[in-house]
Amino acid sequence: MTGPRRWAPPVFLGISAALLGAFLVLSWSIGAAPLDLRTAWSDPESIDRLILVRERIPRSLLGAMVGAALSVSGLVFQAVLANPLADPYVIGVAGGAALGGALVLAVPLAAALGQPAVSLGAFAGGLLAIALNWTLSRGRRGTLRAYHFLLVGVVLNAVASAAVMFLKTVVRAEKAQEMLLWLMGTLATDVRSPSALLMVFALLALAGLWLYRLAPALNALTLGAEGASVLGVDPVRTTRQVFLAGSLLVAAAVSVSGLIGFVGLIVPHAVRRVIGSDHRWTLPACACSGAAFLVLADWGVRALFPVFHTESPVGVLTALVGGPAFVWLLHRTEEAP
Amino acid sequence: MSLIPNATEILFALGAGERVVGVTRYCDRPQEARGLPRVGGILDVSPEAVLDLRPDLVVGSPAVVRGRFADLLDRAGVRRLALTFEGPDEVEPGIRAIGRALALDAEAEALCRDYRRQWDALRDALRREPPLRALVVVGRAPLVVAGEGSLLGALVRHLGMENVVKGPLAWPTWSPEEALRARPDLVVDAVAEEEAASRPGEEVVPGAPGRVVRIPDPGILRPGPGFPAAARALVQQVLGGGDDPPGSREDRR
Repeated sequence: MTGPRRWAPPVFLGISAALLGAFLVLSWSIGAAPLDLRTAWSDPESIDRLILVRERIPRSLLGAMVGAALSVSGLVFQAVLANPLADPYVIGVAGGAALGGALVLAVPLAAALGQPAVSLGAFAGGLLAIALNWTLSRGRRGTLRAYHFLLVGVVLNAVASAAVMFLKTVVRAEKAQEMLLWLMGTLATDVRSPSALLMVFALLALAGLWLYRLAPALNALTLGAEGASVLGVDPVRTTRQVFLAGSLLVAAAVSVSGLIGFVGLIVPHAVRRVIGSDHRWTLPACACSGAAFLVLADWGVRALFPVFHTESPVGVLTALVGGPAFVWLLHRTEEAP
Repeated sequence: MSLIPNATEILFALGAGERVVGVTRYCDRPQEARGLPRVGGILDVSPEAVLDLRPDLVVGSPAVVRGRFADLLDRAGVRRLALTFEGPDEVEPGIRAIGRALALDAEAEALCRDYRRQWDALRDALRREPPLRALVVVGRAPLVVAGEGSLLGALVRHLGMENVVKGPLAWPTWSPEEALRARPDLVVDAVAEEEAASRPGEEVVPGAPGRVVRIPDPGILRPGPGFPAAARALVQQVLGGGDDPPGSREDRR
């Protein structure tokens, strides 16, 4: 009996990177309105250049970063929690970030400061939720109880969700609509300037590299705490570091794009199915595939603009595609001999 | 380019309809606006679609005409005007601002005068001592009512009536008991057509005192040049559905 046919990790990584490149070019070439790339290249004063440089390129790069961050954090959370259903939002960061951002949107003075204030509010809310979950889930010896961590995360998300619902009932209708669009996950945010993108990139790269350094320890952890200890890996320390770095990734991603669902669930599953569980390969592969997936999904919502006369939040499309795709993957995995 | 339905109505009322190059998918008044290119909703605007239509001026909500979108418009040399239309008081400043931006000041002033005159007539028709106490219902199950901070609350105030719903919330949810205790003279049924149709024959607030009038024109939810006309249909019902109240179309001739 043989398992599902696997790809050589370098080949898959190469294909993911190539697809990411292709989707980036696609998202720059075709969008909500027609654009002539030659005009954009040759005429610096043209509207085409403005749309390309100030709108499409920054937006697609932001999408790539967020997609990579969500996929990588989903992968590592699933590994340390030994739970395939763990997604980046399950540990409470979603609720915290949503409440942080919604609070800023609800307070007129803070809302006047625009997107940076909302992003900061969401980032702070996400980190606070993680800190709270961490505090509530620690055992007597300071060890993290994964089961508690998951359950407390679910409770935090539910409480925060109720608080957000309350906020939506007390603010003006337009403000409630603004909150709804943000909570559904969108890349049509104000994060466009090179400095803002660079800041997000630096934070994500730092957390990503940190996780990559932990890849061998993550592999050891898949053998269980005892097995990891035999291999010289401190499971408590590794888990703590993974959660910290992963949480940073999620909080940063949510703060600039709201809650984009399913990317962090479906991409790690698909990648593991194709190339196995070696984190030295799955981490970069998830980063590339997640980036490619979200860039493509965001291109989809922009390309559908002429049909619906609206840019749906990209989180709607990732959920509509990701939900059935996840069920299909699950079905295929169970059917595999 | 108008990114607010209220502004679209104003642009057409000022006679600048032919200069409008794009609108939102909610801009359905006047009829001519329906054929114009759509660039999104009120909040979910596509900057690409806006710039592609090469507007000189973009009128939008402050929640949209800001940040990166405002930056894009500035870089493209497009003037921008951020306006809100949250109540009848904001229509005249909006008309004047749009008139100024299009160099149609005289037309804007005339439109404002007409708008003000229509409201004055409606207020005169409803003048009572003490003022009529109104409860505006926008949802039946649960019972959602219009507070003082809402558009319909502002309309009630603007017509010289008293809103029985106090407090800072725009759309609070009430128990039927509170509605009965408020003892309104008038229950304004502003429940959406779909919800009303799903509960045929059912009272808006079972057992509540006061006359029930139904908001007859959805235009009443959009403060703009057509706002007083929509309100007039409501006032007509309050007065008993008889003669047109002062300020009606015939009266203005």
